[in-house]
Amino acid sequence: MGLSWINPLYLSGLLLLALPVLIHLVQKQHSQGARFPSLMFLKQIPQREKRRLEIRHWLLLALRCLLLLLIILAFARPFFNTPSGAVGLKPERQDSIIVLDRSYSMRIADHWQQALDKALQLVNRKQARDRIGIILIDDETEIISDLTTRAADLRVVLRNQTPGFKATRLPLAIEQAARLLAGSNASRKQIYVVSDFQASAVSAVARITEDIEVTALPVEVTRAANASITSVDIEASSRAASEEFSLSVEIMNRATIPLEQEVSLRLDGRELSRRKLRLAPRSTMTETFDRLSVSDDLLRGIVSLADDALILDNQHFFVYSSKQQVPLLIVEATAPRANQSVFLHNALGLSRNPSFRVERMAITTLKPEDLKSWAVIIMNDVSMPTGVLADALADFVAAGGGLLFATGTAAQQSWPTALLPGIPGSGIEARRANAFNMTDFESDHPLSTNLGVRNTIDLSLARVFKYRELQPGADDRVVARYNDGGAALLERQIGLGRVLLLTTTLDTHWNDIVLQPAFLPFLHQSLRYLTAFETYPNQSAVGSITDVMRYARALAGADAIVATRAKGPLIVESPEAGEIRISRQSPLLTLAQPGFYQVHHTTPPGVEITLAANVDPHEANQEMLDVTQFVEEIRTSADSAATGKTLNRRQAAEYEQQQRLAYAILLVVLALTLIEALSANWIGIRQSMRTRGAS
Amino acid sequence: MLTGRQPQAQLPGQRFIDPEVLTRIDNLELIARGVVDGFISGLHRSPMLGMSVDFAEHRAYMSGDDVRRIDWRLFARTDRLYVKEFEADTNANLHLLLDVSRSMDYGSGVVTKLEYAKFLAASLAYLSRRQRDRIGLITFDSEIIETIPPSIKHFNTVLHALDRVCAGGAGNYHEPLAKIALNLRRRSVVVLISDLYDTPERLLSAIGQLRHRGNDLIVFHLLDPLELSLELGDVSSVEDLESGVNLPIAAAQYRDSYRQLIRDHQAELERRLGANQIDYIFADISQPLDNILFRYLSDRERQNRTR
Repeated sequence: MGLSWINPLYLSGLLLLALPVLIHLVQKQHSQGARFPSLMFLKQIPQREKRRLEIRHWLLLALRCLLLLLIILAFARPFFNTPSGAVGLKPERQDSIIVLDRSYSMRIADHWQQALDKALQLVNRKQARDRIGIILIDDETEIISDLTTRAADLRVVLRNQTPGFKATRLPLAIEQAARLLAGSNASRKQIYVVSDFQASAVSAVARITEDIEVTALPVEVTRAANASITSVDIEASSRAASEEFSLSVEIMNRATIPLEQEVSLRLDGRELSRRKLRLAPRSTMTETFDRLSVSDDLLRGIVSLADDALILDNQHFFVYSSKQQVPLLIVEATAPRANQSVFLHNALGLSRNPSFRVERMAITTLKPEDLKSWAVIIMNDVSMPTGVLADALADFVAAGGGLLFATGTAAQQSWPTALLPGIPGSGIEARRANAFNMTDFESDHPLSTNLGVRNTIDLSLARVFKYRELQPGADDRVVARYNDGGAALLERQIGLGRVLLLTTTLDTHWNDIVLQPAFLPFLHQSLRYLTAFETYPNQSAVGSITDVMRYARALAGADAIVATRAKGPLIVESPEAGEIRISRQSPLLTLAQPGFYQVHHTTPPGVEITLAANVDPHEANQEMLDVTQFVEEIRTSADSAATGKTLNRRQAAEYEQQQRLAYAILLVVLALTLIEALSANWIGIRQSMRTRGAS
Repeated sequence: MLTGRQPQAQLPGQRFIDPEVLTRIDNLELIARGVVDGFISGLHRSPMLGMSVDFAEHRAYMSGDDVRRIDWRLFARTDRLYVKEFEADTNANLHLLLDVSRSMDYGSGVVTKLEYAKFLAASLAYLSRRQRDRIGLITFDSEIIETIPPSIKHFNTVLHALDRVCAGGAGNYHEPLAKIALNLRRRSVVVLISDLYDTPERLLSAIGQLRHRGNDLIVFHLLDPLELSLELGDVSSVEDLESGVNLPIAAAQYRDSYRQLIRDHQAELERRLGANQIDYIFADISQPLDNILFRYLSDRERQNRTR
């Protein structure tokens, strides 16, 4: 059983033992003189060296030294180490987490080097028993070193780090660090935050337990002139002959001085434009590049500014693809009615999200092998497909294609039940006086949900004079009904695709649906639902996680079937890290840095998705927050505090036992203090009597 | 012990005559009456020839008085016995020379040397009054401060003067004693009460001036116990009461040397004064006053036998 100390640093207070000795000597020097009748005889005594600093009252001095010694020992809190460890104390040890900001704003000047130096200083300063962990933060946290006592390892880990490309989110990082320290039994828990403390880094107050201290170590921020591209908006415009688009580039001068800048636009590596700008202090201006034509399927563009203090926010990457136009085929009868597809065609031409590339074709000219060129096929009152064509259509839908079938007078032949939903009923229901209304839309169907209540009501006002009576099959779903209970819109899922069947025509022959304001959103939403359309991102943020397969249909267009039937892993070419393989089952891609990410299918080759990643422009804002206030605002959450109190209660009894030796010493100190006071008083009285007598 | 109680203060100077002390002195008086010249009436030889017949005062008859001195006329008027006293009954002058220099104003106990000297002077004056001696008082430091010429009527005056006495400045013996010697017109008993802070040579030179005309000299040397022992406690320096000079000392180390010097000083004074027929009485002011008087009277008796 050995003696150990909880607070060994207090033992340095033993130096104070010199204090009583000094006091005794000083008191000796300051003792009063006395009056004496005559110095006649004293002057006759030969002058000798006087031992003025002679210490008197040795017993009192020893008592005072002992008192001080015991007080220091009590503060150092000794305890006995038992072999069993039952009385083991929480050692005097500090566990620290260094939260190191690696956001891209740390690339400015020597901010990153300063941050590394501060972190290394903390590592170098630590005691042998102290543990340090390191967390790198931007908009997420990465633990690069768990709590360890090995300073050498920490130094190596730190020196291997480089700043990243993301923005800072301090509160999350501090809470993560607090979670790491939660399991620690160290007597002190400390979080050191090394950052440039941008105001944009704090959106909420971090909540940590009350036993953790937070110390902010801000780097010395260099105010440098910096301009940023804060956003690029792409506006597509469709013309008869070609696809065009325009760019609106927002540029911000974050400096307090005017800046001369140069903005350039490169498309597919070719510089199209370069302009000189004069940016007023702390202002934003928008530069527009108009009438940019798309000559290829996919266009990669870079808007750039001239280099300044922070290079990363001077480039903005984007992609633009004409494949965002969904290819759509309208199949008509060989001899269609006049204006049979006019309303349909016009309505499709007004769609922007997605926009449709529309072609019309007669049912007789439609060949099974042509189907793969289309994402959606609308069969507008045509005769029933049979034979090979029916099978090809079923395959097309099963592979992910969409089929909208509008029945009318032409659809009279035998019903292809394998392809189309519904079982034909008695014939055609017709009213002339009181038209049918499409009132009963299934409320939880995506069509109904996305249309909204207002559009639903509007569609219910449409009058339907005739409709083909169909009974839903076992696999069919009735999306909408007429007010007489007949099925108006049926849906069938075949493989990856869907078939929607409207039991009336898509012109004014049997109804006036096409004349209703709700027709446009109804049609667009139906086609969007059939194509499973996702807006392809022209630009993404660094740090975002993207499901690349989600955009496959939108980007692959006619190759949708091929894309979805492809096998093997996906290959990603990242801007700097080279080739990455991701599985098709979990096709999630993290955009780690700015630039272009190209995703390939291994088999068959040729289908490609390109994503453009850009840094968060807010991170370029160098406005600092009030660091002191930030630390003060970190409050202990109620739950965490409660947890802390529970832990305290649990340790209280054990801790109490550990303190017994210190308490015993304090009792002795109390007794000795009493003795010292009495002794000093007695000596004082005796001295004063002597001195008074001498005076 | 003299210092053990506060003297009563009903009359001026009465506190100097401590009843307890005087009771014991009464006892001593019976012993000393026949041996002390000038102190005990009727027994000591008058230093002067011829006697005065001037009436001085009446006093109540006491047992042992000569019946021839009873004033019968007064007895006839008052029916009480009084005896007449005449100046001629007092045949000696008693000069009390009191050193009131600043050094006398020192005492580690209840009384200072000056207060002790006052008690001693008052006691001697009282004794002398009973012996019908003429009592005079001279106080001095470096010069004469107050002079009361000897007279049988000056007892109260002397007591008043003693009551008023306070410590003066620096002390010096030669000049004031020289002046006093010039003014001593009759043979007298001269009592010097002082702490005698001077070299024996200079002291003898000063006191020797009083020795002419057959004056009988008695020197009381008063010292405080701390002056004898130098038990000053924790003091690291001492200040001269008279000059104000500050002297750093290490009392513990000086003590033995100092005590030896004091002892040598006393011995030298006793030797030199004795050689010049001057009585030297050393008094520790912590000792009872009657002890000193007793010692003195014992010495006087012994000396009277040898003369």
